[in-house]
Amino acid sequence: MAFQGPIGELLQDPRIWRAGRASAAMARGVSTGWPELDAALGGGWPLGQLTELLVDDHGTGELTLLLPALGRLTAGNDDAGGAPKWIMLVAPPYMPYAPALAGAGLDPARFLVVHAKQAGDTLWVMEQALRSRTCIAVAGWTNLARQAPLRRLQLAAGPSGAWVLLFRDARARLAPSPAPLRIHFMRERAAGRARLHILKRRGGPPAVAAADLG
Amino acid sequence: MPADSRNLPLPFGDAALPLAAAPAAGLPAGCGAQRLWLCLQLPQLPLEVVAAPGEAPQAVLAGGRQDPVILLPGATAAACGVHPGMPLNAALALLPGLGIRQRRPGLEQAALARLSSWAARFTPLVNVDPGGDALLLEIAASCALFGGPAAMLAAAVAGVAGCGHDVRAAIAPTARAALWLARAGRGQVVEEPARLPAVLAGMPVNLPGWSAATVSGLLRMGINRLGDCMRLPRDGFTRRFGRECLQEIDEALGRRPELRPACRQDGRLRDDLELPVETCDGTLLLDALQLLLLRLRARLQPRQAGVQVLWVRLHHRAARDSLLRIGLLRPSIDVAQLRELAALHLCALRLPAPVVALALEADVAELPPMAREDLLGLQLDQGERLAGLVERLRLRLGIHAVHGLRASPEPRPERAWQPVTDDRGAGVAPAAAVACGLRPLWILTEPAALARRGALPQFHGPLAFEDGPERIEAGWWDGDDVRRDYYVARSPRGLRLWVFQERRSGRWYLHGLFG
Repeated sequence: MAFQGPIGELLQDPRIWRAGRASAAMARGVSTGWPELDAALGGGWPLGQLTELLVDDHGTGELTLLLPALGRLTAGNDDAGGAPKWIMLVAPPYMPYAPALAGAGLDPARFLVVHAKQAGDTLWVMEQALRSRTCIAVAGWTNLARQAPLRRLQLAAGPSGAWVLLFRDARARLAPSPAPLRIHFMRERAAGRARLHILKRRGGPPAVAAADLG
Repeated sequence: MPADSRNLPLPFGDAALPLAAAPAAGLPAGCGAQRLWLCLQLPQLPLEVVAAPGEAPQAVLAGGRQDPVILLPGATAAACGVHPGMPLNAALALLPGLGIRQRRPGLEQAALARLSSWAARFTPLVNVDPGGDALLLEIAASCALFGGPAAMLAAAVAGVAGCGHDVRAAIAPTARAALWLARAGRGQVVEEPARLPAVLAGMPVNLPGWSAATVSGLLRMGINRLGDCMRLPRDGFTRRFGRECLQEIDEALGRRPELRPACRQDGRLRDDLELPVETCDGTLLLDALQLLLLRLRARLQPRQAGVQVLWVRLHHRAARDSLLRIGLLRPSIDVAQLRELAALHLCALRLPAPVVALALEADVAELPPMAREDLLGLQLDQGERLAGLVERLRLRLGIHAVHGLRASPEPRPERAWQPVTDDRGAGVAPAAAVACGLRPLWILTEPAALARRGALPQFHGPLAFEDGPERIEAGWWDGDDVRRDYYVARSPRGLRLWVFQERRSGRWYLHGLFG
C-alpha cells in the first residue's frame, strides 16, 4: 500500500520504522550475495554498525560467506573514484591466503592484517581503524569482549560507514551485546549449506536464513 | 723606514695599499656581487643557557679553580657593582647572595646551532662566528623579500628575542664589520662599502675583542679608536701588536677576503633539555618533549624537512638511560602527532628512576608534497591517515604486528604469499596468478603435523577426502624442494581442510582451511 501526500513523504524518513517491515529503515547496506540472507537482513549487510557473527569453529565457511560483499564493497569504492580504502582483519585465527583472495577476485594489496598481542587489543585496534576512516571493512576475532569497548566500537562504527564485523565464540550468544545485528553461523553436516540464526536485528524478530556456500 | 710603501696611511687611496699578505686581495671589494651581512650577537648567551628562572642575582664564572673570575654578571648583579673580570671573592664580598654558575660552552653551542637552523629561514648562508656568541647571515640576495635590510633586521631581532635571548644586531657589507657594529649595540645598518671606513673609525679599540695586552698597550699609547689604528704606519703597528689586528681591520673594511663557511645542515638534528625537577610524571615529560618538538619544528620548517625517525633519550641520575624510538612511515613535523606517538610509547615504558633530562635526536628527511585539503580543511589524503593508523598500531603491538598481503607467482604454497611491511610494494601491479588448483582462504604459516590412525590422517576424527590429489613438486632449483600431494578433506566437525602428504616420508600435514 503506497501512501500519497505528506504521509508518504513522512514514511520516507529513515528514522521511521513501520512495525512488521523488517529493516525497512536500513539506509545503507551491501548485498550479501545470497538472496535469502539479503531478504532476512533487509537488503544486505548493514554498514556503519556493529555486526556480530557467532561461530562454533573457525574455518567452517564464515570467510566464504563474506567474499561477495567484500568484492562489492571494493568495487563500489573504486567506482566512487576516491582513494582506495582498506580491508582490515584484526587477530584472525589463521593467516589469510593471498592467492586464494586473488582467486576470489579480491586484490590482496587491499588487505591489512593486524596481529593482536593480548585478547583485549582486538577491539582497540578495530576502534582505531574505524576512527581513522581509512577502512571500508573491519573484521575482528576475539573471545574477550566486554560491554564498554563493544559499545565504543558500535559508536565508532556509525560515523565511519564501514562494514564492521566481530567474530565471537558461539558460547557468547547468551551474553548481552550492544551490537544491533547478531548472527549465529552454523555449518550443516551436508556439504555446502550454512544456516544463519539471526538472533537479533533492527526492526524484526529473530529469523533463520540459509546460504549455499558451495 | 722600509723602502716599500707599507707605511702609507690608509685613508690615502685604497688602491695604493700593497696587501701582499692577502693572496686574493681585492676579491670581495672589487669583483662579484656586493655582499651584505646581518649579524645577530648574543651578549648574554653564557648566562642565558645556565640561568634558572626566578632566582636572585646570578653570574657566570670563568677561569680555573685557582683564581675564578666573573665572566658575565646578570642584570641585578651588575647593578650592584659586579663587573666582568672581577675576582669571585670580591664579587661575593659585594653581594653575598650571588648565584654562581659555571660556564657551559656545550649548551651555548647547542643554542647557537638551534638559532642557526632557525635563521636559515632568512638565507641559506648562515655562519656561526668562531667567537661563539654571534650568527652571521649573508642577506644581499634575500633581503628584498623581507622588505629591505632594516625590516629584515627588525624581524630577525624579534625572532631571536622571542626565543628568550638578549640580542644586538647590525648590518654591514662585510661580516667582520657587521660583527663589530653589532657589538657596539646601536643596531646600525650600513649598506654602502664606502661608508665603512668612516663608521669604523669611530669605534673604540676594545670592541674587536683583541687580547687584553693589546688593548691596554693601545690605550697606553693614546690609541683609543680604530681610526687611529688605521692611520698608524702598518709595519710599526705589526711589529708591536702582531699582524692579526691589522688583518682584522682589513677584513672589516673589505680589503681582505674573509672565509665564512655556511653551517652544514646535516641529516641528524640533536637537542636536549634539562628538566627543572626530577620527575616520573608522564604529563610533565610530555610537556618537556613538546617544547623540544616545537624547537625542532622551528629548525626544520625553513628546510621544508620533516622527522623520519625520532629518538628520545631519558636521562636518569642513577640508572641507564631509557630510549624511545619513534619511527614514522612518512616524514612529518606535526608536533601533536609526534607527541601522541611519544605518549603511547611512554605508557609502555617502565621508568627505572626519575628523569633529569631529555635528549632528542631526529633523522631528517624531505617532507612529502603538501597534503591536499578540501574546502573545509578535511584531509583528502588517505595515505596520510593510513600511515598514522599503522604507526599507532605498531607502537602498541610491535613493528611486525601490522602488515599487508601480496601474492606472488610461485608454485610452493608457503611462498606464494608474503607479508608487506612497508608501502614500497604499494604501487606494484598484482602478480599474474599462477594456474593452480583450489586454494584455501586460511593458511597455516607452519604446516601442522597430523596424527595418523592406520594409513589415514586424523583431525577431530578421521578425515573424508573430497578432492585430490594435486601434486606439487617444485623448488629443486633453490635446494628447498617440496614433493607433496595435496587433498581437500572434510573433518567430522564439518571443517574443510587442505592437507598434504609428504611424498618422501609419507607424513600428513594440515596446511590450510577453506574457511
